Amino acid sequence: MRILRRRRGFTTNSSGANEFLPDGGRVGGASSTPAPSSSAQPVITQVQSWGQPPEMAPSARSGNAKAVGVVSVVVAGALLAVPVIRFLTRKKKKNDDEGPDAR
Amino acid sequence: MRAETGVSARPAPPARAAQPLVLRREAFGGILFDPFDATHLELDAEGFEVVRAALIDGRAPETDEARAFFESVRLEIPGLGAGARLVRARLGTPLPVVTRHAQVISAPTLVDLQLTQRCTMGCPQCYASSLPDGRDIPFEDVARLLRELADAGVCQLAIGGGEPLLHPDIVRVLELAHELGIVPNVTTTGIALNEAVLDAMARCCGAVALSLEDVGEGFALRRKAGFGFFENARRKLREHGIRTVFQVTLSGENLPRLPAIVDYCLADDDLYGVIFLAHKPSGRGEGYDTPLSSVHPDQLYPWLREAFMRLRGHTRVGYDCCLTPGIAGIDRELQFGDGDRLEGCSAARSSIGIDADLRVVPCTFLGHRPLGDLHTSSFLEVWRGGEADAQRRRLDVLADDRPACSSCRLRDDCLGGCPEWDLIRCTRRGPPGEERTPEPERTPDAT
Repeated sequence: MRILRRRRGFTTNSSGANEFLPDGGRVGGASSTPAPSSSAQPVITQVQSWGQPPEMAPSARSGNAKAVGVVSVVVAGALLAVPVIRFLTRKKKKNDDEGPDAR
Repeated sequence: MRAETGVSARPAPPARAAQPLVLRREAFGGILFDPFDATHLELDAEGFEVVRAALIDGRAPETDEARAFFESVRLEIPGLGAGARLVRARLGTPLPVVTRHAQVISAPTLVDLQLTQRCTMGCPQCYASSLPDGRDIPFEDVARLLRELADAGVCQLAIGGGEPLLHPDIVRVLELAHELGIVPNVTTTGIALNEAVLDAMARCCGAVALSLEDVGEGFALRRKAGFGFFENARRKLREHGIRTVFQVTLSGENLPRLPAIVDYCLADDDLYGVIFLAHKPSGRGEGYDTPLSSVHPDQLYPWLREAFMRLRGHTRVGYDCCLTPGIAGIDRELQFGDGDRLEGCSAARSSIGIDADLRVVPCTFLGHRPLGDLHTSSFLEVWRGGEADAQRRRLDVLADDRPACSSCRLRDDCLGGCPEWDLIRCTRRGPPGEERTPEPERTPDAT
C-alpha cells in the first residue's frame, strides 16, 4: 500500500499541472490553507549570488536594433564622404591648375 | 520595495464553501483529491481499496498495515474519515494505459478552459493573439460543458482567455463550477476586477494568477497599462483574501530581469505562489520573445536554481510542465524524492485544453492540433478518441527518440520536454537543432 504521487496546490496555468517543489505546498499566505507544520517547512540549501547574467542568443528584436544601427552608420558615412570628396576634388583641381607650390 | 506597504488590517475573506472529495479509480489504483487545498494523491490499487472502503462503505481498515496506510493518507488530508466529507466518486472501469512511458488516466484532472478570445490589453507576447473583438463561449455551452467535466471527475479548471473577466457571465461560471465540485482557478491581467467578480473569486476560486513578465518600466513595455495597474490588481486581490499567484513566463529576453522579478515576489509576503513558465513561440509571442532554449544550460541552470532557492522559503514555487527538462538538471538540489516526482508534458495525459470555439486541444498553446469538437462529440469521446491517442504516442516517440533520454533516470517523469517545440535545453541533450524528433505515424484504429 503506497502513495505513488502527491501534489498540492491550485493550478492556474495554461500548460498543464503546476508542479510545486517538494514541501512547497504548505508555506505562504493562503488564507484558508492549514497552518504549516514545522516538519513541512522546506530546508533551504545554500543561496548564492546571481553572478553574471546569462547570455542570450540574439533575438528578433535585438537583431532589428542591430540592423538599424548598421544602416545608420552606413548612411552617416555616405553623407560625410560627400563633402570630403568635394574638398579633395577641389584641392586636386587647384593643384592641377596652379601647381603644388603655388601660393 | 515592499508590495505590502500601506496595507492595514484586512477584512476576513469570505469562507469558501466545502466541496466534496473526488475519488477516482484508475488503472494504477486511484486518485483522491481534496478541493480544500488541492491535495492530489495517487494511490496504488491496495491503498485505493482501503480508502474506498472507508469513504464509500464506511468500513474501517482491518489490518495493521491498512490502518497505518490510512493514517498516512489522513496526514495528507486532515479530517478524512467515514462520513466526515462528501465524496464525488468515479469507480467505473478505468481507461487502459496505452503508452510505454506516459501514464494516462481515465479523464483529465485539470482542464484549461479558454473562456473567451477577447482581451483589450494587446500584449505583444500574447500566445493566444487575443483581440478586443474575440469570441466568448456562450454561458449555455459553458454550463453544459461544466456538467460533463464534473461527471468525468475533473478536479480543477484553469480558466484563461483572452481576458476571462471580460466574459459577460464570469460570475455565473465561477459559481456553477464550484457548485458542481470543480475548483475554478483564473488567470487575469486584472481588468474588470469589480466587487461582484472579486466576491465570486473569494467564494469560489482556488487561486487567481496575475501574469508578471517584468517589473517596473519593463512591465509597461508588455502591456497597454503601466506597472501601477498590476500593483492595483494585486492590492484588490489581497484585500479580498484571494489566493494570488504570480505567473512568470521566462524567455531569453526577460531572463536577465529574473533577479528583479524574484526580489519583487520576495517583497510580497502574502503570495500563494510563484509559477515559472517557459515561453512558447505561439501567437503574437512567436515573434516577440525567444524560448529559453536560446540560453545555454550551463548559464540557465544556476539562475533557475537561484530563483527557486530564494523563493522557496517564502512561498510556493512551481513550474509548468514545459519547463521540466530545465528542472531535471537540478532536481536533487531541489530535494525531489519519492512521491514528489517531476512531471513532464501533461497534455492529453492528465490535462487538456478547450478553446473558445469548443475545440478540444492538447493544451491551449496547441490550437493547431485539435483533438475533437464538443459541438459534435462528448468530452469523454474526445479524451478516448484516436486523435488524443495519437498525441500520447507523439510523447512516447519523443522519449524514445532522443539518445540522451534513453539512459536518463528521469525519462519516464520528464518525458523529454515539449513534443512541439524546443523550449528549454537539458544538459543531457545534444546541441540545438539535434533534438527534434520526426512526426510519429498515426494509428487510425487506436481508441
